[in-house]
Amino acid sequence: MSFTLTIAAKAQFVAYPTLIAVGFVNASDADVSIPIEFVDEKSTDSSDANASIKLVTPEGQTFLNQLDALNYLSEKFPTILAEKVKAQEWTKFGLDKLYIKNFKELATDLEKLDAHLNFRTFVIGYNYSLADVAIWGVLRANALMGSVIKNGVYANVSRWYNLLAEDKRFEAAIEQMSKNVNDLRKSVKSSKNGGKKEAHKA
Amino acid sequence: MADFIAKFNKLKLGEASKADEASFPQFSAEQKALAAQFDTLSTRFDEPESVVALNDSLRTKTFVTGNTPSKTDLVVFEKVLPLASKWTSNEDLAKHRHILRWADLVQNTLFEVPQDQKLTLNYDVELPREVKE
Repeated sequence: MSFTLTIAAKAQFVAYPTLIAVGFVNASDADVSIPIEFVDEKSTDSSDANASIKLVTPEGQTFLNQLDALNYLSEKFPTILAEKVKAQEWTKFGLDKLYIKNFKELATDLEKLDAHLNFRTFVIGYNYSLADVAIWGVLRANALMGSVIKNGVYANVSRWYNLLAEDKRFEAAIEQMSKNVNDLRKSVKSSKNGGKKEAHKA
Repeated sequence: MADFIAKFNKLKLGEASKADEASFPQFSAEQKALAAQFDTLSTRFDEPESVVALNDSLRTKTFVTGNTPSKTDLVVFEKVLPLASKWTSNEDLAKHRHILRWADLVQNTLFEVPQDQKLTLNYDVELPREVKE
């Protein structure tokens, strides 16, 4: 068995944390490359309507839940996705609280993150950990966050978010996914059309 | 940036001027300007507005010159450390929170600071949230 990661592009909560985590593994010196497949569906598995991912491991495990997948990856690659144990509280916090699209509810948790980042550059310690990957991915997937970050409503959150965005493993990974999904949609459209390019009547 | 931190050989406190600029990521034009600005400013930390300017700049930037470390971080840190050691009241912590966040990063990634000179921070002290004007 080998690794595969499937991502549901139409999931209610798009799985950027797992996408970025796998990107970290693929960009590292570790002798492993995890192929990533995108499906233009709400779920990766017919058994679970909320499965935003499907990570199949060489050991034959299948994860449909991001927290399980992230913890598995952190355990398997502890130098690449560091501090699984210390990061657990914040990894879970990100996945549970920050996908929410109700700003009133979200605001309380953003305040909590902002306060945590008063004297901290990273969520844990002095470098990236699993928690940074998880929280950044969730915020990137939350459509409410674009203007909140840009306007610096939570100054510490914006500074931290922008630092990570500059690393090619974060923002660039999301752009690569959007491009792949757009290509996928185009090819589906053209195959529905009998493989021909759309012809416009004169 | 993170890879840089992992590989960086820390300098001894007091040796900022000896740091080799070539050991840092290359500067953009904007970073060059910021480096010049804060190199100068760091000689005037006896003026309160210089300290305010540094704190304001570090609100949006991880390091003095942006999102990558530079020799300027070392130079400025050596000048700030004696001041920052005295910022212990909640008011001072809140007022200088961005400098303190950055100084803690610098003293743990770029410098070998002797234990008795290190800033000790209570990371979880409750401060009023900064509200954007």
